[in-house]
Order: sequence, then structure tokens, then C-alpha cells
Amino acid sequence: MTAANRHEEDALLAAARSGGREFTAFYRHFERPVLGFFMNGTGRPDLAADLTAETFARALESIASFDPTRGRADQWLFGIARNVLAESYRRGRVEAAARQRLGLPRLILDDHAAETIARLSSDHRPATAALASLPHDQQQAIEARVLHDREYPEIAEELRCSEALARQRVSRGLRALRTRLAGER
Amino acid sequence: MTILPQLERDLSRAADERLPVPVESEGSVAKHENGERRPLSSRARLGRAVRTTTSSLPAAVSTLLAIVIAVVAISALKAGHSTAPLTRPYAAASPRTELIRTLAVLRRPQTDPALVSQLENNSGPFRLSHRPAARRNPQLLKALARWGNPQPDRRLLRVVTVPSLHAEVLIAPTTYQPSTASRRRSEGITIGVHSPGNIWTGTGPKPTAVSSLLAHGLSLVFGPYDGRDPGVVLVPDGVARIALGPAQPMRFQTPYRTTSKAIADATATLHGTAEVDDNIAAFNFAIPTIVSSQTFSGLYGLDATAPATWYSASGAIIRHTTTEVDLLVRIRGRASPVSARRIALASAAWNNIERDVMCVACHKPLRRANTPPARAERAYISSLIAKRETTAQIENMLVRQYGPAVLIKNRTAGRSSQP
Repeated sequence: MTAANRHEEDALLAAARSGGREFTAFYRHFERPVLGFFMNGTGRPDLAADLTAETFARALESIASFDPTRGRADQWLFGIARNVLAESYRRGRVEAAARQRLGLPRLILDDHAAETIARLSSDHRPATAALASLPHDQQQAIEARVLHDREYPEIAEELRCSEALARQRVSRGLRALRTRLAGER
Repeated sequence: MTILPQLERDLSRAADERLPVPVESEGSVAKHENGERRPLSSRARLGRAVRTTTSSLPAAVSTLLAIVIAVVAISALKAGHSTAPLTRPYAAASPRTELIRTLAVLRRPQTDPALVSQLENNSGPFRLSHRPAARRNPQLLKALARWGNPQPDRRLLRVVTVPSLHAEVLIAPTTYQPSTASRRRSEGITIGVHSPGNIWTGTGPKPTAVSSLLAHGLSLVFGPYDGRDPGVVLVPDGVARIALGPAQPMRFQTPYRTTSKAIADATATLHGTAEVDDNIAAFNFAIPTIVSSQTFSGLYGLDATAPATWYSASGAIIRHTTTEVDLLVRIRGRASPVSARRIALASAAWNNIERDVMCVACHKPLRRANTPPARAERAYISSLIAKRETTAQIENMLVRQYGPAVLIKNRTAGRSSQP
């Protein structure tokens, strides 16, 4: 991403505080990246749509307190998205608290929208291909830690290994990914 | 073209309801035929400026010249004193400006000129921060380090008197740093209450963000006073009346040997309606009483939430929301003096241990966990307390039973954020 793009995104976020039309512009700009993020995280278009709605609802709730000096707009928004995804995994259900607080109605997803969201998945992207080529245990550890943002003790319990070994798998897996992706370029 | 047009529409509507409308200057507001004033479009504003300028060209030229000279003079004076950029990178309002827009009480003059010195010299909510004596006391320094560094904006301190509660509410826009050396800052609002008997109670040390204030209000319950539990709720402009309650305790808090149902039934009786004056609504709850033969008498503080409905002056509903409140519950124990002492000791042991122990399934502190293993851990701890084991013995037995991860101190030691 170029500095001009970043500046544009920051300006969009700054403007989004002033009203519905500006917030809509901000939503349009980030809709596809956020849907893609959740599509990769969940693999289901309906969940991705619900989690996207929750993310933007939380963004709307906390937009007044956003401090541009402490980070970029995309970092801020994806920070919220990561939290929403992690909380949903932890609680075993799609988070909808912010949507309820704002009184947003339930999303109705038609087939066309579901197909479009499914196509946003990065299954065919180089990073995903490189991840699939890793040994299964490293793959599982990276998915749990990096994609699902879970704690190491929890990962260790699920993979039936020690916490140190889980850390090692993530660390080695990420190193292997970096090497492979650098080689492709 | 968006993928989820329904979401876009809903968000736009919610944003229109929620986000502040930018304050327009006098020149940018037009009067319509029906007398209603609406913002001018940018094109209309430009047209008006051109018409005004061309109608009196000589006056406009001289005005323009004066402005240019003034700008050049100010720039020359400022050169060498400031390295700040001439234009702000973002047009958005700061949290402090948002607060001033949100609370009318901040837009009126300060009511109590002696307040600043009172804050510095007495035990107000920002106590210790500026007192030289505190800096020389190692124990106080330690407490200060935990407290952080809340800095109230002295120009914006306001006091609201609440005659019905015989109390004064201090409203303080505050900037918070974790320590004086930290570069992290958060801005928001803190309230304190000066109640009879010269007692100060306050929220904080971290201030509440503007977004939270707009969504939920900010409450402070400061009882017991006169056998009741008084409290105030700070709400944004436009709210004329609040209906609060019935309150519900947050999950998994029960004083020793009371049931959560008994607590929930007691707090459910707490509800009321209050008019808003100077952004403050005042409540005066009766303290609910629970009779229990299993425990000893006392007053217990509980974190609770209360559904709240905000009404405008015309009676229209502005918002349904939830406000966090700290409540008191009185427990009238029927235990004999001997068993009451035993129960008191057991209760203290329980509090010590519950603070140090994690749920081995969900990895939350035991006092917040409610999984089946957490309930089993509680039962096991209760049985050990009944056998009069010491805290250290109980912790050792827990480690033997569930492994070292059951203790919080073992889990947090040596943790790393690195992957």
C-alpha cells in the first residue's frame, strides 16, 4: 500500500466521524477487505457478512475516540475485526452486541452476495498455497495463533503438546513461510 | 457497488443518528421559505461569497489586503517559536471538543473558583497526583504508580449540586497516562461525588471515553448514606429523563454462601425514574436485604448492569441502553456468633484463593468462570476450606490436582507476546 493510499484511508476515517454519508464512504472503501478477512477466517460467507456487520457497528460506536496519531485507519479497523473474530471463536457464536446496541436489523444475504463474498477468499493466493505446503502440525499451529488469535496454552491443549512446542511450531512455520514467499518473488 | 447494500443503508442510518452534526457557522446557514434554517450547499456558499464581494469591490479589496497583512505579520511573529505544521492533517474534532459538544454543563462558566485548590489539597478523586508530600512517601509512590497519572483539565472542571442527595458532583474532562513517562494517552471524562461527611468517591483513574458516554452514560453510586444507596448518572445533551433498572448483577458474583438467585432477586427490585438537570440524573435506591442462615451480616458491593431508557423533553425515547452500576446489598445473617466467626475466616480464605486461581478449561480467573470444571474447582476449594486448610496448603493441593496452570501467578510468569 502506498503512502497516498494510507493518507486517503486516514482522511476517509477522519471524515467518517461527521455523518452517515461520510461513514458510508468509509464502509464502501473497506467492505471488501474486511469481508475477505472474515471469509479467510471462517470459510463461510454468511458468517463473514455477520462479522463484518459487527465490526463496522463497533467501528461506528468507537469512531469518536479514534486517535489518528496512534495508528492508521486500516490498522484500527482490522484491530477491531481481529477482536471480533477472536471473541466469536472464544465464545463459539457470532458476536452481535454492537449491532444490537445500534439497533441494526438482521442481515439477509442473497445467493449473489454469498457467491461474491466466497470469491473474496484467498484460497488461491500465494500465502495460502505456501501455508498448505507446510507440515500439518505447523499449519495447525499457525492457523490457530495467527489467523484465529488464540492463546498458546489453548493451542497446546488442542494440539496435545507442550506450550513451548506450540510456540516452536508457530515460529518455525512462519520462518518457512517467509522463506518460501521470498523465493517466489 | 457494495456487496451488502442492506448493511450500508443500516450503517448510514445509524451513523446519521449517532454521529455529531458538524457545527455550521452563521454564514453557512440559510433560512428557507417556511422559516426553517438549513445548511447551505458549498456551491450556494461560494455564490453568496462572490455576490457579496462583487457588490462592494473597493471595500472587499481593502479588507482582503488587511487580512493578508495580518496573516504575514502573525507568521513572522510565530517563526522560530513553533514547529507545528500550518494545517492540521485531520479535520476531525479532538475528544475534548467532542466532550464539550456533548455536555452542556461544560459549556457554561465554572461555578466554583476554589475548586482547583480544593482538589489539590484535599482527598478528591485526583488526590496525590500533585502533592509534594506524596512524592516523599515510598508507599504512596507505589500507590501512585498503580493509580497512573490522571490529569483533569482545570479550565473545564464543573460542579453540579444535587440537593436531593445533599451532594456535589464534580465533572472533570481528564487526560490519562499510565505513568508520567508514558507516551500513551487516553482522553475522556471522570466524575466524582462529594457527599455528606466530606467523603469523595470517583470513577477512574482511567476516564470514560466520549463514545461510551454517548452510548451508555456514566454512573457513580456512592452509598451507603442514610440507609440508602444514592447515585448519579451523567448523560449527554438532549436527555431530559432516565428510567433505570431493574438492575441485574454481573455473572458469578455471590458473597460467601449466598445464591446468585437470591442476589438477582434482590437487585431486581432496584429501578426508578429521574429527571436530568445539568446533564446529571440522581437516583436514591433502597438497599435490598437478603436474609440467610448460612452466612454473617454485612454490606456487600456488587457490579451490576441496569437497562436504561433515555427520554427527550417531549417524552420521546432517545435510546435504550445499558448502564453499569455498583450496587450495595445488605445480608442479614442468622449464623451464631461462633459459626459467624468461622464463616468470616472461611470467606476471607475463599476471597484470597479465588483471586489466585484460574479455571483450567477456559483460562479465566475463577471468579469470572462458570464452566463445569470451574464449578468443580470451586467445590474442591470449598471442601478444603471446610477442612481448615491454609491458603498455601490449598494452593499446593490445587496444583497437585490440576497442574501448575491452575494458579494465575504460574500462568503470567514468563509469558511472551512473541509468536
